[in-house]
Amino acid sequence: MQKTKIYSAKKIYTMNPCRPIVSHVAVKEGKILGAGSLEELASWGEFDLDDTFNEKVIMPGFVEGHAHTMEGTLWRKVYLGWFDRTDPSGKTWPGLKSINEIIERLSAAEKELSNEDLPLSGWSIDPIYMDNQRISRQALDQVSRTRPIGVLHASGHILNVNSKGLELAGLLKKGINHPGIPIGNDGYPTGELYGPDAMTPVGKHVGFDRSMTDCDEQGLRDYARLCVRAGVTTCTDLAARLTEESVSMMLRVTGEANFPACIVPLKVFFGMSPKDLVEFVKEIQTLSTERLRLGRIKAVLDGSIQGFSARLNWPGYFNGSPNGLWYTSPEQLLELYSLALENNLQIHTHTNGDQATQLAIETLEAVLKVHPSFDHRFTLQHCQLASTAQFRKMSKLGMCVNLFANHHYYWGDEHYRLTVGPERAERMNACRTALDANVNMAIHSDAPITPLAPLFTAWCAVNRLTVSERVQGEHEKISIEEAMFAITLGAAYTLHMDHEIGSIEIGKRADFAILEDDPFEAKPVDLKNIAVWGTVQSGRIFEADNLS
Amino acid sequence: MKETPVILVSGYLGAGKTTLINNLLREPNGKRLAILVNEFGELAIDEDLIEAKDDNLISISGGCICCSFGDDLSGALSDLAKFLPAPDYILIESSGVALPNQIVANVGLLNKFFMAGVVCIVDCSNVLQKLRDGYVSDLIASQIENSNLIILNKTDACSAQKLELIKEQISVDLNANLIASTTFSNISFEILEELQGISAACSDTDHADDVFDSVVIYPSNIDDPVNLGNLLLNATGIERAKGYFEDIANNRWLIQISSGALQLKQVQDHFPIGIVVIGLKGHFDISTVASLVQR
Ligand SMILES: [Zn+2]
Repeated sequence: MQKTKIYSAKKIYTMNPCRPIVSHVAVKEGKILGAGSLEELASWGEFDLDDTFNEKVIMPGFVEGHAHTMEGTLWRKVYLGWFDRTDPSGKTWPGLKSINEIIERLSAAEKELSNEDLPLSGWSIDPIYMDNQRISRQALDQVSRTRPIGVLHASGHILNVNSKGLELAGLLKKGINHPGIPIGNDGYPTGELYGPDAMTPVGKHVGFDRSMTDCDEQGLRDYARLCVRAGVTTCTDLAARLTEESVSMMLRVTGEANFPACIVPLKVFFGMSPKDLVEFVKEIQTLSTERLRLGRIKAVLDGSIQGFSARLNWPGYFNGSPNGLWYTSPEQLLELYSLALENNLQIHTHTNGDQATQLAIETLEAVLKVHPSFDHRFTLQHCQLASTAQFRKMSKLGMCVNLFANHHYYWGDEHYRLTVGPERAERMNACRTALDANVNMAIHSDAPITPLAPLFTAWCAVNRLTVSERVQGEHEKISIEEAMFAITLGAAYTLHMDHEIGSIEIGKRADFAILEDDPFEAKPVDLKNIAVWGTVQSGRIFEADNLS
Repeated sequence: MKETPVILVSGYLGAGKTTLINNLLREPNGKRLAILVNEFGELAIDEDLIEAKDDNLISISGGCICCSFGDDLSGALSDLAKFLPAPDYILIESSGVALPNQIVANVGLLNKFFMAGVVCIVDCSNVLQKLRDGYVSDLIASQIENSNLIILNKTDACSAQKLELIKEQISVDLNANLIASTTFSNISFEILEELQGISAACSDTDHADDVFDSVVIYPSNIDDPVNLGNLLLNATGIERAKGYFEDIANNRWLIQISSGALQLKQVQDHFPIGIVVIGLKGHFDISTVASLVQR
């Protein structure tokens, strides 16, 4: 039998109100044997004392309730974002502040590519921080005329390509008439492609295949390294296609002895009837392991607010854009919810606009009358525009919410002046309202859309600052304690995993975030600057700067 | 290179798109059809039509095929382009929440295909209700407005009065003017082929509706087929007509008018009744043509 290990620390925040702060935690067989004083824990019998974390602050391992492991795969492409960002190896790539800098970094990467036919792909550009300057195909042609080049925007909704990319897709021609493909003065496409319809035919020629929403093998390993750097021990993959092959790949990789995180992939409801989907998910649920939790479904109701494809209630978009798109019809949602409750499966539903949120609420209310279910924890993901009344209703129905706190920082200014206007921009991602209405709440990064970093996400929810350093929605701020709850137990609850993770408490999995500083004592504005040393996952130690 | 015509079958969930596809596969009028469906659900293709089946391709008797496209329509179409010999028509069954003009724009990006027309099937048992539904009214209206042919389906499920109301809403409020009525999605392939006629005849304009007016008539109990043919042929502003009707002795007739010539022949098969009549806008006298049926 494995010997008990007792870790000492500067401070251990357990998130267990019975003993909120302790000095020691005992670990045995990957689980928490106890949290308390050394004296209390020693009474369990023989142990080794480990002082590795003597100068660190320990918290429960963070739980990211909405991210995508595809970020791991994206890091093999060129990072071109406005903000500094750290890759899986720990290298921080400085943010790029002009189109020239973007062209330079791409050119440098181009020289590294040996094979002439290989596409060059970059990701995470965002022209809104550069006075909305567009990147034309001619600009990318400066990098190469002969090699296909594609650059994905931070939102994931726009792709820029060079002339070669257009040519390979048969689109370097005049007379194109497509809402997602703007035409330049010369009559040819400018190289900007808006929305999946326009992106898909070109994407495959420039390194952005449709199947890339699922990460590959190396991508999954790289993604787990990002988890360690962020203090994350359990992470969702929120909209995986989950084919039989990808499930077996994920089982194999997460099963590797040094894989440092528990991954929770949700199978997306698309291209399958509700009945087939429910059957498939029930089947793969039985394959779940300690580090790969299968058996949950994600439904997508509408699009995005900045893409004007979210479904809004009256009065609609601030700039007069027509209402957005349904990706799932009310009838399909009803069928899916019914079958899921009947079969004890949990659904997470993407809703951005308040009309989509309303549909999810009304549908669940109707289904619950037929299939009473007292602990379904159906969760609305993003749910960015929900009103106070909607939160009250969600509370009554036992729904959870996972709000997109990071979004508020990166695009809050855009929403204020362009998409939804001041009043609704201030209530976006309404953390205070959700908690006051007693809705169980998590907050998320939606990585790779924004970086995986729960402490940063907490900072967003606590300070509600936008990029322009304006506080937007003072009333919706939450306290540090509430934010820390959201990134641990709050998120664990939305996954029906609060009995095994989310707090440092006897019997739970030994999952810890090891921090260099104390978030509870930090000034709210400093929360994001707290360094993460690494994690302990199932009792195994992973130091961020020392990952194999 | 010859481009393959694509016909989009749009309409909300449960309107009867799948039934229409199955009917067309039963009577493809000698044409080789390739059908693209969103997914192979439980009710995709009638079992008795299937010759062979794998994960995303079904072979159907008579050289027709059916593929599922999931979330990648342009990918599936590119795959079909490699298929030899090329099918005579490609029919896309869109998902119930798809906007037809988006799909039309996407098909427009691909070489080797051209949009021959958009058919929208309307479920008469609930369309009025759906057009008032806060969640989907704009979607349904957009599907109807952006189609070349509206098929009013399940007409037996509503009263004559309600049917009139539906027609009025669709033609007046939503400005869609080519309407056929049926039950059980019973529309012959030739009516769909006429869509191609519309698109081809006005290839240099954006909208068929700008140039042509059209009407579908359902003549039955006709005592003199030749007389009906001549009346149609000589109707003011008529450009073309095609379809079937029944005479007083329950014989089925095929009628075809194009380039000023009339073709009339008795047929054995029981193709669904209905004649699409198309004429130049401003010249074509729809009410006279419609009155031919009432006699
Ligand atoms: Zn997401």
